[in-house]
Amino acid sequence: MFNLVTRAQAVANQALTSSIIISAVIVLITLVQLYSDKVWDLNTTTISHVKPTASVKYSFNYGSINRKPKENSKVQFDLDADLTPLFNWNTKQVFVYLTAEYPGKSEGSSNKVTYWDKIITSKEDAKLHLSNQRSKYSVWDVEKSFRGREANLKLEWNIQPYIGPLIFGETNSTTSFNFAEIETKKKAEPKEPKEPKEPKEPKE
Amino acid sequence: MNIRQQLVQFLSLAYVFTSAFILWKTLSVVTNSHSPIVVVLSGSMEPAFQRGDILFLWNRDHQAKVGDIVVYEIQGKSIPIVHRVLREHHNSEKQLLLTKGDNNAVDDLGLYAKKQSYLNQKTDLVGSVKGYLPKLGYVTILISENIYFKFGLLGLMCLSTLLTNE
Repeated sequence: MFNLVTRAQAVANQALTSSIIISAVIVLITLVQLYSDKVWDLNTTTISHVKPTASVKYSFNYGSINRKPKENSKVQFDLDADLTPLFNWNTKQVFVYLTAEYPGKSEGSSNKVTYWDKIITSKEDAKLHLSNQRSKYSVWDVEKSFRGREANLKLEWNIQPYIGPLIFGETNSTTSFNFAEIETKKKAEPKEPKEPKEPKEPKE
Repeated sequence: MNIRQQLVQFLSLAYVFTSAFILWKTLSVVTNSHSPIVVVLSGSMEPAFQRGDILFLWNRDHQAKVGDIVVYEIQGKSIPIVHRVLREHHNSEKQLLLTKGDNNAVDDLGLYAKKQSYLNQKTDLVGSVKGYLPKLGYVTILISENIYFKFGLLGLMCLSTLLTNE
């Protein structure tokens, strides 16, 4: 009656049910804690002194197709944020990212790009004081240029847990700026300038 | 040891397999994704996702958001890739995405097909990651990559069937 297989099965069943219950409890407690910390209502963030710059690139790695000129945008900014409430006992890491949202050409179209992001793995590092921070990415649009449009900067976050659902949110402050435009309107030189360094291949 | 007993045993085994299959396919329909649960195979999203972690996907969102972690497939490459959405551009018809692994220095342009500069939200995505379970998927990596583990497991299963037939 009680052979090896039935015993093993009973143990496995018990282990499975218990671990499901424990994980559910952990997830529930985490969510309750995040709600009570009001993490979806963080208003300790300021983004200021946004200085956009523009340049023209001719490399595929900077959005250029067939070596046609493509406008790239970068920004410098000051950022103050306190993300410590996002850390609780089920937070493995917080991913913060600075996004810019701006309208597209046709109706109902919109764009959102990331200028800067950071992985934060401990509560001690969750207070951000950045001044004159340069954007991590050189950003290009689907169009040839940003045409000096207005964009809205926002700091958003994502909690990655030890177990359970990924949790997303954004801080309350927004700052707007206009994309910089290329000043000299002269035609692109026929000779293609060499990009100084090609970025290395990403891993899968 | 009669034939009837053996048939019953075979049936119960078949029952286990079919119910697993039905469960998987139901999940597939509910999430609108051909593989609703995936195992992380690479370290490009570390430290958030490590090799062997299990991810639960959902593919019924109308649009992907910047910051979402999505699983996508490139035509001609068999391995699905788990990376974060860096940029999105959409109009009323379609949405284009550029992705990047958190642990990578550069975006995914080099991973896409030749001359491809964006992912199409409708056609390229397997789903976006909603839930996370650590480490448990390592079993499947062991089975597919470690020949000793695979045959050891098979041997153990054979042994256990022999033992039940007493």
